[in-house]
Amino acid sequence: MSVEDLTVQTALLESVPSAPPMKHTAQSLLAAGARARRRRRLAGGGVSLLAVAALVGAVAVLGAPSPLARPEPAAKPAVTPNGPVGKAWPTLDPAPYCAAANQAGNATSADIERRYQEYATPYPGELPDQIGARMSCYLMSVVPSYLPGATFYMNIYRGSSVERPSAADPPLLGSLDAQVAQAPGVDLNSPSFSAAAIVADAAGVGTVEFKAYPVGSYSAQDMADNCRSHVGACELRTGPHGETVGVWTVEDADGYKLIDVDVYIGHTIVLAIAANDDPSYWPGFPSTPPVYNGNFVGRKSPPLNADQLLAIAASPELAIAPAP
Amino acid sequence: MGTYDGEFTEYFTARAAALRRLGYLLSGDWNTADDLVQVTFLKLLRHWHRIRDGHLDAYARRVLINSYLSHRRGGRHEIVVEQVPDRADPSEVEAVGRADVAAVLAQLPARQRAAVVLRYLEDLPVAEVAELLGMAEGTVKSQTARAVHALRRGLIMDAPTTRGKE
Repeated sequence: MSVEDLTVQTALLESVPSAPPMKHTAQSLLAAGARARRRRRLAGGGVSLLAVAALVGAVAVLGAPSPLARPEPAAKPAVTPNGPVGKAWPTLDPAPYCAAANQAGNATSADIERRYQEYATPYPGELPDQIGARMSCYLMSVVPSYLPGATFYMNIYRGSSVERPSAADPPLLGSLDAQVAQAPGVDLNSPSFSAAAIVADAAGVGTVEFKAYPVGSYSAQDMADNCRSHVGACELRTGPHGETVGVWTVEDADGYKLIDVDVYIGHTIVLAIAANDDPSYWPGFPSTPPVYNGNFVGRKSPPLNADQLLAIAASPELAIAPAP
Repeated sequence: MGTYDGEFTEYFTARAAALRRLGYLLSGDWNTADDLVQVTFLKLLRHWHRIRDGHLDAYARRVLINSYLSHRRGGRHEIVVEQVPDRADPSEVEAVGRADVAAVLAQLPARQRAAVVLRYLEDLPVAEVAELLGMAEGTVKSQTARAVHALRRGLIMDAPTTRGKE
């Protein structure tokens, strides 16, 4: 700086009066960020139609829910200001998605490169429609088996901060999340896929969300570091097949509770999240994005517990094989 | 990066006051400055693991500036000036009191004020200021020259020869 510039700089600095105490601290911002972040957590097999059909068939023939299903005690349904909006889905039909998922993919490496060029590597080895169909087939088959008697609604404010899926889409439809707008010095997101639903049953209203994204490598130490470094209680576990697992629980004084199970399986991080919030409480729902105000608990506890979320997440059907 | 919360706290401790001061000079109000700091650090939290080492300051400054400009946006006509020399005549350099500087800053249009603060308080090069504010480099030079001239004189500038929407 020249002498003249320093004079201006000094004048600017000296023009600033004594500052009152700052309204925010690092801790208050971390707490606020944890609540906002729970919905934006991001966080790497082909499907066997036979395996999924067997599961669906077994549920149909036996007429019984999954042995891990623990129906909530009968309770007065939560009364919400708006109620879940959009089409109610008392049953989900995975068959069309399973049929699409089992059609052989013929994407070339050029197709893959072109489709995912806005994202960071590693890229998936399949195009979004193929992965979305496989994800939809699996989740629409498995999740209802843990929630007997539940009605599902599309959650148009699912975890992705940018994507606004159509209210006409079925619940638990798997699709590619939009890339978040970037700034210089901020790395791109790798492509992530998510599926979500609002769940309403005798215990009230809550939400479930499943997200998967490919990673180059991930170790038990990485999960342990991640577990220690984020706000909220975190427990390290081992999955049913030896997978590396982290389980986060977020609770507050209003009765809000969120369970987030992260599983590393087959070069993929899978997030399985359940919360006891009712999105229709959000101010301006459904026309404006949600703003957490801590006062929209829709049921006593999330629709799925940590064991159920882990059982759903720790499946090769959600693994996204990276492009060679 | 290591421990997420520890690193964030460390960065907040190191940089919050300076960013708050930047917010004050832009807005002239401590409450608004605190709001700008909150928005900035919450966005930093959101993208923390993706911001490459060495880019934190640039990213934080960008977020704060954009938040300030969004706050101020509303179809206001920004004054665009003709080409003027980058530097005022050194003989015109004068001491300016605190109240004069604050008063002159408050009368500047938002983007011109931001240009001055970024050039002279943050000591950013013209090219970076231009990129941050979405202006041509020539516009940054002209706007800061006129504003600095006003600061040095303790007076607001006369109407420029060209007006237009920024």
